[in-house]
Amino acid sequence: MTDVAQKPRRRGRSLASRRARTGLLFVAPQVFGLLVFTAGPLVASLGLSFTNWDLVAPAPTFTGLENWTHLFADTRIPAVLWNTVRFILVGTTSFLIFSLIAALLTYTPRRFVGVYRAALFLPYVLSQIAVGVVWRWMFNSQSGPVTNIVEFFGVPAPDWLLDPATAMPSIAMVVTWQTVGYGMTLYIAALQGVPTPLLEAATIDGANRWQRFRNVTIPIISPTIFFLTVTSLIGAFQLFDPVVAMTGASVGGSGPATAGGPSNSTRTIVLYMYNQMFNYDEPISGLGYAAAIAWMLAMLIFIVTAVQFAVGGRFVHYETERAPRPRRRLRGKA
Amino acid sequence: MGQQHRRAFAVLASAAALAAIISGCSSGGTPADGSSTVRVMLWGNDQDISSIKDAAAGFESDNPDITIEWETGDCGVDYAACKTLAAGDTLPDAFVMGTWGYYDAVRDGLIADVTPFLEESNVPKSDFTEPVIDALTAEDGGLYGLPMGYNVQSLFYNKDMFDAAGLAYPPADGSYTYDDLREWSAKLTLDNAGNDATAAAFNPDDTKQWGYFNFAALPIPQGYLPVLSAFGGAVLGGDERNECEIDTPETIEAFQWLQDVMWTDHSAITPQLQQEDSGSNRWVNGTVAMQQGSHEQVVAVQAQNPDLNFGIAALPAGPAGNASLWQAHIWTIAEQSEVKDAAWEFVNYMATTGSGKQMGLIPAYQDRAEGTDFAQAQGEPADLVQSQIEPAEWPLSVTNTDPTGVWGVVSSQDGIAPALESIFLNKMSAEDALTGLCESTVDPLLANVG
Repeated sequence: MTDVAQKPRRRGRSLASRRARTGLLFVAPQVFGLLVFTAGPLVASLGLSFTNWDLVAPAPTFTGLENWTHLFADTRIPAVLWNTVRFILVGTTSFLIFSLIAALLTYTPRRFVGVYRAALFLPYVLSQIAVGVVWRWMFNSQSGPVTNIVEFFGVPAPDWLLDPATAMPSIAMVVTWQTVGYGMTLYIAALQGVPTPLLEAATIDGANRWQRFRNVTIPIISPTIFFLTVTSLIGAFQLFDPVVAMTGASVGGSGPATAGGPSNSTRTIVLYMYNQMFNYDEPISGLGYAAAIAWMLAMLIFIVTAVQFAVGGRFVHYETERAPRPRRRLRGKA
Repeated sequence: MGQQHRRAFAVLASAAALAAIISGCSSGGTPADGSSTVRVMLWGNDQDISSIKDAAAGFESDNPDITIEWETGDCGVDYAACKTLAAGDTLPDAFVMGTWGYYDAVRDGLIADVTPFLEESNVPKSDFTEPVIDALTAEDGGLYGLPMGYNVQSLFYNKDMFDAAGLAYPPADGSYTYDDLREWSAKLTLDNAGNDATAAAFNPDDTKQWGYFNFAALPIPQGYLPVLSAFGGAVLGGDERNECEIDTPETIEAFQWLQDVMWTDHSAITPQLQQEDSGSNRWVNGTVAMQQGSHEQVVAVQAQNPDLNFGIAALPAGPAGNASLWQAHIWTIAEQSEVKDAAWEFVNYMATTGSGKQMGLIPAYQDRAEGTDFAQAQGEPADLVQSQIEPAEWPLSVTNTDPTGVWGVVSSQDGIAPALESIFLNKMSAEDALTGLCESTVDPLLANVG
């Protein structure tokens, strides 16, 4: 009797154990990748920020806080941070607005809507370098399409990428063009989740189209707006490829070494980090100092994101009501 | 199969996979039979790469015990790529460095001194073009590679346009001046009404043909350095090229010449025009009369517009004399290579017996440049000796080596780049942009680099 009673229990444990093991095997590659390719380098880069290493010496040399003290005294940092902020002000704002507009124009089922959505999403899957090269030509002030459009309206076109005043906004415009399809896709999903009864109730209460959008739609999609704000801001802090592609081979020379012009107006914090890593041969440069800059950037992003959660979170409306759980006894009866 | 057998099989399979990965990652070496595998990294376009492989065919058949494993990558053209490979301990055994990154690799101990190999092989340094060997000889007397070849900046001109303007062709030996060049450039620039740039009725906003292109419009040093040198100026001077000379009157005059030909005469390609379509392409396609460039323009014409009727002349004289810029590609051996002897055999062959016709460069070995490997080769234009080979020996000619590793920061946005942009975009005169730049910007950078 005892044996008979134990056998099913052993089989049960064995089954649960096997299932757990199978589950672990499925997630193992992901966890392994995360540990080896993300967590490992993250920890290593923190350690490297206390060293001096040009990648060629056999091993890094421990330098204590030298990189960090130099970082806070580096007079180039404020300029490159300000360039990054200028990109954020134009790029992130336009991304959020134009993505929403694109979503509002395409979220309702109509003829060819799939084609429109695909056309808007397509740039998102293209290489940033390829996009940058094409747009560098689009922006040329001699016969570029952008110049021609502006001049068609009788407005004199600037030297888009060759003028310090317009270079960064031009890059922001390109990044917006490329990423707007991604934002649109998330907005469409959010807009399709806006409950129709709520909109109908607002209509019955006399709300016009703008009032329905402002007081019903926006609160419902606010989690998506918040998510896109946070993620686009993080991405904006990491701007690199478009700057190299659009300024690296025009005035300013070729490649990351001299990209960031004209007049230092488009050099971002990540581009400066690359310069310090590979192009400068200063006493405090190389991988150690670049790692310190990377960690400063990571902390900056963390602080900005925390502020966004603290401030922005108050304006985000989450659906907290849940469907009532079926009662236990009813389930038992079934 | 039982559970234990399956487990054992899994362990064995994992071990086999791990062994395969490890063996796949390991570099070549010398097996017990004495044969060697040499990993060679190449860069460039398809033509460049096939030109090297063709040149190496003789080596591979003569040395069956040495296997060449070809790789393509940016190490050599971009020093950052060499550094990352070195950090990963995956630097190839032999690779091609450019003069621009050569001394970075020497300082970092990335490439091996080939002097002992040269002595052992009885290959005299005098077999190679003297200025090239001089420029590649480090302060410690070491030679850290052998030249594959070099290219020289010359003036490439459209003969039909000169004929149409009634102008004599530029003398191939460079016996003309930058004043002459500026005058020709204006006469060769035409608007759609047929006025040249010297005519009062000339409309610079309606230009259909430009007189001159210089890569200074980008701006890259290969474009403006020869002009500076001919005017007696430089960005950096001194034996180690680490003394600021960018605000000397001679340098300012040279930059002003470049600005004037673009913006006063409206006869040269500006940065704006360059952004629309490269001045180099425009010359190949027949809308620019003259351009300063290297021999790769010949290859571009052969590929894109073989009917172009063009000639080559050495660069003109400035107030200080004639000057050009040359840059070499160098066969180097990785210091960390485990097959240095085999790599030397390969590098030695490629720089001597197999030299010529690699990456379209002028061979730097013996007198091959003047023979069928270059100057007398089929399809090459006339006057290559005067316009391409002799200028490398001019006393004022410069190369773009960087013995002290200062060029990276000096040429950056923290250095001279904003001032040069101001000049070439016509925001400021050369004098306004450059006066005091050494003291305010460049000297502090130089003091900080080391």
